[in-house]
Amino acid sequence: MQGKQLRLSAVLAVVFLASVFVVPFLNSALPDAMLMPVMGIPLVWLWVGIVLHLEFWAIAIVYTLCSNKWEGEIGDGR
Amino acid sequence: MVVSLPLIAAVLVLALTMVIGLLSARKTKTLSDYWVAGRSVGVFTNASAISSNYLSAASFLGVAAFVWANGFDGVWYSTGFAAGYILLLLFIASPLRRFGQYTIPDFCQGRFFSTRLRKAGIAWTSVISALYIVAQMVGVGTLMESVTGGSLPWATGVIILGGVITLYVAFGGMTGVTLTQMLQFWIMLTAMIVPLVILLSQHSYTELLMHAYEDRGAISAPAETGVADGGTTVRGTAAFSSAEQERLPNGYAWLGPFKKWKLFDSLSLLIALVCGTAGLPHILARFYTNPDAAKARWSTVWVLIFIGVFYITTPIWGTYARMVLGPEAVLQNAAGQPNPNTMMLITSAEAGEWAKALVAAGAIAALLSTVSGLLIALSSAFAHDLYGEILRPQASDRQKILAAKIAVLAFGALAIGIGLTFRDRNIAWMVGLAFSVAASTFFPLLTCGIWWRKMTEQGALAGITVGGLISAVIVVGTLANLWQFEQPAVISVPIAFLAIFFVSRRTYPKLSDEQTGALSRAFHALHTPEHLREPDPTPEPPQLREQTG
Repeated sequence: MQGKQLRLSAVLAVVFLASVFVVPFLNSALPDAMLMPVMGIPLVWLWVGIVLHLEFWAIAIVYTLCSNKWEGEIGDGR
Repeated sequence: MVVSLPLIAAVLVLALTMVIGLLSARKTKTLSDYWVAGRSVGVFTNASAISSNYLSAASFLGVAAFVWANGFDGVWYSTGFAAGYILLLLFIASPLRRFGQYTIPDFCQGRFFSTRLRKAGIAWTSVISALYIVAQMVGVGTLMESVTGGSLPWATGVIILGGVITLYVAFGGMTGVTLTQMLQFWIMLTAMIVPLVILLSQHSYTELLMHAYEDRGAISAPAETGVADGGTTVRGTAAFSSAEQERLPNGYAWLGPFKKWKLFDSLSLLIALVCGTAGLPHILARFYTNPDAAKARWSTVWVLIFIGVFYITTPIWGTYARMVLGPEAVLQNAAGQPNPNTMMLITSAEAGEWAKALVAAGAIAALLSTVSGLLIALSSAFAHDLYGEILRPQASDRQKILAAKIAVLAFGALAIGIGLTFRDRNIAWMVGLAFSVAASTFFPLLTCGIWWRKMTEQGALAGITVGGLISAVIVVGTLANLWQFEQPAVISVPIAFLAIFFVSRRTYPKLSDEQTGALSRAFHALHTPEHLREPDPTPEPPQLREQTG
């Protein structure tokens, strides 16, 4: 159970860290592409200012639902 | 004093906070009520309170100002501040809540059975909270000056606001702080969103950004005069140096990264924000107030949503300021500091007094909530951890609550005093250092301590000492112009983890049966769901009582 939760945390942490820390490198490597307007907003502003927040919410909800479900299953003897 | 709408709004928030805080003193009867609100705080209330505790005036006013001055580099703050809660949720929140107890030094002793480590925890809690609270106290005076149009002297503002916070925290404890922080969060969010919606009905966000895309020459927006509360620096005056002009690039360059932070600094800033948030004692303490680990998780989910909504608006405020007020109005003074009154300036120029009053109420709420949380964290380190657990563990709950109230009053007075002496000094580094120290001390200690059985007391001590000191030395060296390295986390955080790993590997002892049992009980308390164990999970191995007694 502890190992299962830790594995889930590690996978989600890798997704989270990769999506955040790749941005400075992309900014450095592809500056003009990162400023390309998407719906009138620069790509990098949209990514960092909005999309990352949506990703954080998704990660948090997935982790919480899975963890609470697993803990409930142990209690039920499943 | 001129009675204005912003002043009335600020006084209303202050009065409401004071009344709620003092009324809740009646509910604060036990030690658990005082430090962890009786562990009875629901998900919605705790999520609001955690969000409010975290969103200081620096977030409320400063992030928008930073975007105004530095473009995309400021957007990192709006995301980095929220991102820390992911690591907190994935690795720390629910085990920490399950472990029970009241403070991070409690965790140090309960997990490692070490009074020495508790003392180190007290020391670093004090350093982080003190750095943070002094910066907030200086902000209190500036904000009150701004709200009252300069008619309230700076020092009087610090004393009034500092005094109100100290009183309601002292008598209401965590129960009072929780209720007031919940109220303050919703005032802040309303103040952030409602005026912005009105403003965006006048100029759409993409329309504002189009101006930036089209501006690829020298500074093209007209210099603004007469809109700033604190007086603006205008291009062409002696105070506007060429160095400052470089900080105000054309619109297209402003949209792009690396104005303020280069690649290495950007990475280091991100590490400090992400790991530092997960190591701030005044934030971590709030997770002890939930009834169980599942509710602590859901509280964190809602915190991410609440502060996410809040932070998504900050780049919009900053863009609005840049495009409507102009790039040059951002410079508050000859030193080139970004004007912190971004939202006040915009609302007074574009939306009228009522919107400015709402922003003033939000800013006061932001200051009150953060300072109250810091005061609880700072006082608990002394009244609970030092007095109640080390110096006089045999004291009754009544005596411990009295010690807590005295500690809050003393630290409140001290924070006001230090805040008064720090006027006009550069304090921007203080909050940054607090984040770096938290990222380099409690974050590695908690993540490794919760998940790695073979982490030893010596490894923990080595990690938090080396990590914290390296952060402090790098920042102090930068302030003394010995080197230019503003963001130490990229160095100090990995070194702290390495120190924990290597020292623990070298010092992991051959455990006796009794020690193995104690360690197993500690891990059982951290990781076993509440419904599968005895009501009081707090591990109390024999060593713990021997060392504290």
